[in-house]
Amino acid sequence: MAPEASIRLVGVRVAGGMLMLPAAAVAAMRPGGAEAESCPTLQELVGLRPDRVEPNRVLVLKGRGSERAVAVPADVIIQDVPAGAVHPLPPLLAAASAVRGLAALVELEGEVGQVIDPARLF
Amino acid sequence: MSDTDLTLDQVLEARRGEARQVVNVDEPQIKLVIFTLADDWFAFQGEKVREVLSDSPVFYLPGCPESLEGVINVRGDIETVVDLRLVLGFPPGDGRAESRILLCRGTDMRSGVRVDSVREVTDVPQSRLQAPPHTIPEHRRLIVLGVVEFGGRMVTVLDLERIFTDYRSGL
Repeated sequence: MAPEASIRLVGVRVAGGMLMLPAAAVAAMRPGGAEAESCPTLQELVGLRPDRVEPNRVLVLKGRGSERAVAVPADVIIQDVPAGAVHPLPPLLAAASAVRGLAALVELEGEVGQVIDPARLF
Repeated sequence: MSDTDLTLDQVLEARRGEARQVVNVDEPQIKLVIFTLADDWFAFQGEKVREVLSDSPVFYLPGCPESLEGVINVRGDIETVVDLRLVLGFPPGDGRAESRILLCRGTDMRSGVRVDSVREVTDVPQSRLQAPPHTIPEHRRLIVLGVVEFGGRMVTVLDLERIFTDYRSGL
């Protein structure tokens, strides 16, 4: 039996939920420091209120033809998720969510993450 | 045998007539899912409610309005859950013991809808559905299809399509 197709996602816990990015849309991951203080946080980029957690890692995201660095918390997970665990947005959520770039939901262990597509952001 | 005695056939015919009066199968019926919010009784048309869920964990998603509680996993499908109290302008509920999620489907919208409790799923004759009374608050009148008396209470039948449409346009 052929193995189920999967997608690699990069996730960070922010604003009380898990935001996931397609790994293919993450060009680089760097330790934070001064760069993390100078660039916008992922929450700011997607329109969520900033956390109190200090961002100390930087992700470089690939959008449509450009890249942008965002600061994220230190704990970053990288996970291969079966394609069947990725769901299109329910219509009411698509209409109601304030999260910019929200493209899908993903079932994780014990929670549901929000998948952000940087190509919908910049 | 006296003049007042009936034959068996006459008795049976009379009883059949009574039965016909009690059950008029030709009268159109509407199925209602009757539920409560605060101390008020409401209903959705049964055709709009696919399922009543009692114990589904709701996953919070940041970035949603307060009235959108989160999402649930229904046998592999992810559905939103809106709190009907907040959608209709009631204060937030506290006790959740009897709370239920109605899995509702409109023409181009679907969602779980949280209510305080589900009282009954029943068929009522369509003729018992009356026009909304003038006592219904103005802001709620547009989402009311009518009222029906059930078990000594007035049940307000809500227009789910209109609620979904208004909810989306009010976001």
